[in-house]
Amino acid sequence: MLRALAWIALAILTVAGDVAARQRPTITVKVPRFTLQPSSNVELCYLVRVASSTPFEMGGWKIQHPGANGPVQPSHGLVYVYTGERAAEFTSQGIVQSRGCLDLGPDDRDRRVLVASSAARSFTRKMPKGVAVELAPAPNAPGGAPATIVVLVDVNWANNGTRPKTVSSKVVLQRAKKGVVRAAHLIIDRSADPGIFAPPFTRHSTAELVDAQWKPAGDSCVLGLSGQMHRHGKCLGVDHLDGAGQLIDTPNLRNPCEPGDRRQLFVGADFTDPGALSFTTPIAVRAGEALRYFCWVDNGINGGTVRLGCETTPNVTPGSVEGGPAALCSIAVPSSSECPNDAACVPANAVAGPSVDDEVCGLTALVYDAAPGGSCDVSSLP
Amino acid sequence: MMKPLAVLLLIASSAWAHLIPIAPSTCGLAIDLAAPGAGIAAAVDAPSPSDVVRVSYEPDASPTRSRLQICPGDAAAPSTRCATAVSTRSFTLGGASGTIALPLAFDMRMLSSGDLDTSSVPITITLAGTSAVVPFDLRTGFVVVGDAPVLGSPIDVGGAVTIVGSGTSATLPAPLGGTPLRLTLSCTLAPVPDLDQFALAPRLAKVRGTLRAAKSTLTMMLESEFSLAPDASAPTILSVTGVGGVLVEKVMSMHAGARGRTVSDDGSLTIIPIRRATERVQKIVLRGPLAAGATLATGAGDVALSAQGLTARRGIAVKANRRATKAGVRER
Repeated sequence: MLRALAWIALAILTVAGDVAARQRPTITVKVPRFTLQPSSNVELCYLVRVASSTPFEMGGWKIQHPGANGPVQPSHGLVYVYTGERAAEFTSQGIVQSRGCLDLGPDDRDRRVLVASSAARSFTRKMPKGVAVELAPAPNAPGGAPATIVVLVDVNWANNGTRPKTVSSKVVLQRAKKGVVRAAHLIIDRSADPGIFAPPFTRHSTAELVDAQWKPAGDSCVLGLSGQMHRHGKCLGVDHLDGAGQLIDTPNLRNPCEPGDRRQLFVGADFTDPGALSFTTPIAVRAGEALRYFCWVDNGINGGTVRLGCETTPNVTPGSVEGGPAALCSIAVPSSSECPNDAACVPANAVAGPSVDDEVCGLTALVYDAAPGGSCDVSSLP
Repeated sequence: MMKPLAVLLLIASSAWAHLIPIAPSTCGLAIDLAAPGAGIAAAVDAPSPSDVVRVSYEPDASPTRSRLQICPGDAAAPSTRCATAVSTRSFTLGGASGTIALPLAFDMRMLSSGDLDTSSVPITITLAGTSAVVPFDLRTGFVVVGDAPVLGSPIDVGGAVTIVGSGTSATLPAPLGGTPLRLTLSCTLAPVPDLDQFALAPRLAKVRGTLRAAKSTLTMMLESEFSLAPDASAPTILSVTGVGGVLVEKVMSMHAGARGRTVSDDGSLTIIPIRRATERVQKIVLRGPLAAGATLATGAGDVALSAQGLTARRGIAVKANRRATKAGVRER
């Protein structure tokens, strides 16, 4: 009885948004109920802040979407953990509707890593034996001490029926119990960002300007390989390269942006749902090998609007890799009150930037050290 | 055996695109420009075959980012890119000639109902050699021109859309100068955009009432997302139409009332907030006479409401008595 009451109290604390620090067995996030209108497709974003100065070692997770039934289904359920330095700037404001959950949080909101996902009605996963994912607390402000684990839940629901339906979601991150010999760390690589450059009404790959690669320091094992893009990002592709820079033949997914729909180790083709390779079956990336990645960015050709920006030099398309993105405006006119000094608002280049109206191209994963010899099976290690 | 199994596991856990890209549309834009208060309308040229606008879409669950973008289409590839120069349309008004030009590109908020809106779009009007940039509020919902409400229509299943705008400029020469102007932009978008992925629009529910010439009572529920910000300073505009034409048409300034309510200055309409956890619900109560010359008849009709800047429509069924002195109203 007492144990049941303790669980109820813990659940109430978690739902409240800010959760007190303790050696909790789980982090539970209950997304509040939401009424889906008929013929609707919404993306719901909900975050909780867990006060903690020490990492939470996640050994598994469970995601439930109890409202999923018939014509009402989630098309994705994603769980991100924030790895930036401005946790205090996330405010508990209930559900926020936003594609890709880009409209909440501080400027470094993209410093987040996908740690779990499922669109099934109920789905449970355990990490590989001996492995726990280290969910580290972020500082509340730059330079501060680790203080808060920020968990963001992103669920895209569609109601293809003719009646409203109330839905909810629940995420339980479970602490690893015992026998952990490897901690998987959350990694983000954004070395492709300087390659983002798409003039108005063009589509370009970051590979044209940079060769973005993530290389482990030693033999490593990769779980939950995923990517990051913003609105103009159309496809993200990842190749596995050997020590000589040659492609390791791991045909897996087709990249619709590549000539001939070339197959790659991993492909994300939706900025709202980056997808992920397995969270339970690791990929071995040995020392000297690399994961090479790139993004295709479409600036207004198909399936999106062209970026508008303020001119800084007359007749020069604003926005550059070196100078950063153009100041935003919404009506293209020769003299715009939205622009500094009433400069012209014109179609601008799409480049990387911190704003949600600018672009990112990143690779994320959960990475742990391989066993001696390079095996990702660490279950027999002491 | 292990390698194929591993590959299968990798594939099984990958997600694929479900935010369905919406291909840009094009259409030939019909333009009407009038000054209803002065009883004048310009004869604007029809669009030439090469004079098309390009409409591209940015669906988002957030109402502040859910939008489309309108620009003149490039002559060679209108669905692929915008033109690099504005498109100018000629018109005649009385004995004078003029031109009208939209900006090179502009964004409008777009909701899942197909409703569009934006404010202060600078439209260049030239009449008899004098040019003025006139800011127009453009909507598929209500705009008020002078004192009269004008209602556009959202993107329908066939792609047809009518955007109405109101603006005024003292710089323009007579007869357009200093008088409220009504701008109407209409076209049929091809391909027709899928609306489901845009931000949820407000909705009207439980429309009930009794219409009488002297005093009518009408109630309805206006439901909207909390993320859709209301504008408390906006007037409330209500239009009820039946088979016999306009039954109710009112533009009402509002003020704060008791217990969180909002009341029209003439006292005929009250907005009552209803406490709900998952959405904003406002009960709308109208008590007042029918429009002058309104005719009650049995048949289908429509109600359109803009309250605190939130606009919604609903089909209604009107059932009149034999003497056409009274009619019941319910939503369809």
